Amino acid sequence: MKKRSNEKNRLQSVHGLAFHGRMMRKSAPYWLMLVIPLAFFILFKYWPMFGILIAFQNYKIGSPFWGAGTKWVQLKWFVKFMSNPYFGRYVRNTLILSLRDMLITFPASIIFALLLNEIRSRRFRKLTANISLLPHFISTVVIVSMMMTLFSVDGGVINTLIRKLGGNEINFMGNASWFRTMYTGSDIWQNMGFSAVVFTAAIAGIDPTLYEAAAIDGSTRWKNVFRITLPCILPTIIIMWLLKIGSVMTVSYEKIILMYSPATFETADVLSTYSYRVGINEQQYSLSTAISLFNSFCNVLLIVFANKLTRRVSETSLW
Amino acid sequence: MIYKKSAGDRLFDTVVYVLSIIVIIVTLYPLIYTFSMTISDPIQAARGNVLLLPKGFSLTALRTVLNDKSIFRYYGNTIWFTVVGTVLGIFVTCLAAYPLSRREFYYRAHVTRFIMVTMFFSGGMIPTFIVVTRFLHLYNSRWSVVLSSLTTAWYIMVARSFFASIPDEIVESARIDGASEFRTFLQIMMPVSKPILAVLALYFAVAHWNSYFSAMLYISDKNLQPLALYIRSVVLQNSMANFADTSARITAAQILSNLQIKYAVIVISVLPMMCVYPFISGNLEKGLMIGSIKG
Repeated sequence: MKKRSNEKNRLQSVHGLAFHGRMMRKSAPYWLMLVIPLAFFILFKYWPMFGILIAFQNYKIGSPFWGAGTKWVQLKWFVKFMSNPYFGRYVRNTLILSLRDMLITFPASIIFALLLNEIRSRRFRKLTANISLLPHFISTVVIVSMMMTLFSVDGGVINTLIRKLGGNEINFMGNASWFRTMYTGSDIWQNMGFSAVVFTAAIAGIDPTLYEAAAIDGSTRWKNVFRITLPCILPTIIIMWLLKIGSVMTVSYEKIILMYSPATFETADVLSTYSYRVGINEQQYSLSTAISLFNSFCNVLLIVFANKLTRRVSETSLW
Repeated sequence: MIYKKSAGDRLFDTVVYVLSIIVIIVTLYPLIYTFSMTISDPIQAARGNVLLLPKGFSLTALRTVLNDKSIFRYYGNTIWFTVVGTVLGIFVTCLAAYPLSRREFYYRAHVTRFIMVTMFFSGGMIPTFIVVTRFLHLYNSRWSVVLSSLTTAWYIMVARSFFASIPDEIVESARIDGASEFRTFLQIMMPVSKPILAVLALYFAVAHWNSYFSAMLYISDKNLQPLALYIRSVVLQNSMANFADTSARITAAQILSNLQIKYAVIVISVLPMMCVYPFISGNLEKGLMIGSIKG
């Protein structure tokens, strides 16, 4: 046998059929345990992945993803979708909503964690933290329902208050210019406390001697926030930021579908909600799949871009 | 921490407390208001006199909603989804996580990669819809909702890293005593893994209790739908037909506003969560940390 250049090659040549046969027998109980989980992933995850192929077909309802009757149409559906007059609107709305998520909702949870840390009374801090976590456990349907009723034009308490203060009623839920505020606002209300947990934990791990040294040097608490707390949790912030980047362009369409109406499509209609309407309501399966594939494609592009950006400003990055 | 109580510090403290109190008010106000509206006198509620605390007292709204017996059916369905989804979810998650945490399992890296792929790629709504409804024939079956969201790669990774952190000696001693792999898993691993089981239970239960989207896609039979879809039809789609001619509403002389009925529906659906929350909130933060950082 020739000398192997690297370890990997050597391993591969040694591990022949006999080796794998022995290993398979040894790990039989493990495989037995994995039967159900693997069946789940194959049936409900990998099979649909294979189904993405219908974005390039004239898919007929009831036929298999790939069979004798499959008609391939190349990029027909993508062209059709991109020549849609509202194409720009879907992309713009998707981008703006996910950017707002990163630039408003995300910093809000960091600021809240910093705020919690500065509360001196332990009991009050715990109380505030626990109350802020509560909305996370309320369902999207209920949250949108509460928004619809509280901000309603006929009898909603917010408009009642506005009228009592002498203002004009605002149709919060039916007005395209208010949609983004309502979307981001409810997101912060629901998730700020929950997203802050990670940062609170990071703050708890900061060496207290840093603060003692700063106090001796006459630093104020306001300065401590920016010169000690924030720099110390920066790694956590960057990791969470990178995890967020992974889901850029994926807005919570489950919430938008409940919130929007044709009156707010101007700002509320995103790629995924459009794909939902085309697919489920109009049953144009191929077109709908092409739209969500386009969405994922933009997602990948943005991840690459954001990763470059992060690498330029910090040492941590996705790859 | 030692600070001189300077004027600046006092100002800082004041700002911190004011901001925290604002957060608390903004968080709790919608919940308290919704509750107040539900039990307020219908006339006061309709006139918009309720701003924070209940005005008058009346159970008319609650009674009207509960008079529509279908709400109990929806409730029952949600409980079914939550219980079955949580139990099966935990079971399958651990079943996958345990082999992946054992170093003796030669193929664990391959299987891990196979599962991790689903974290980054997915078939999307329509292909999944076709598989579930057409190929697996689960349309209008409760199993469509439970099976299609049985577990996620993320939960498996969280559970795996927990299992991996348990000292090997425990497993080895069981093996020396002649326990099979399954017995080790069920009788040794499971009992020492209670913290991760609790975290998984919380995650699964909350997700199933709150989910509406897959039920909306896969279940059109009203007898099988969860509570969330009932709320959606009453509050968001304004279907008040269920309450139109119930006796309670007539005796209230038609003044019971649709708005108040909506508030009552919301209260009835969040009540269980609100009752459980004070008991879990104490350990919540610790539990969430197990589930969030490692992985």
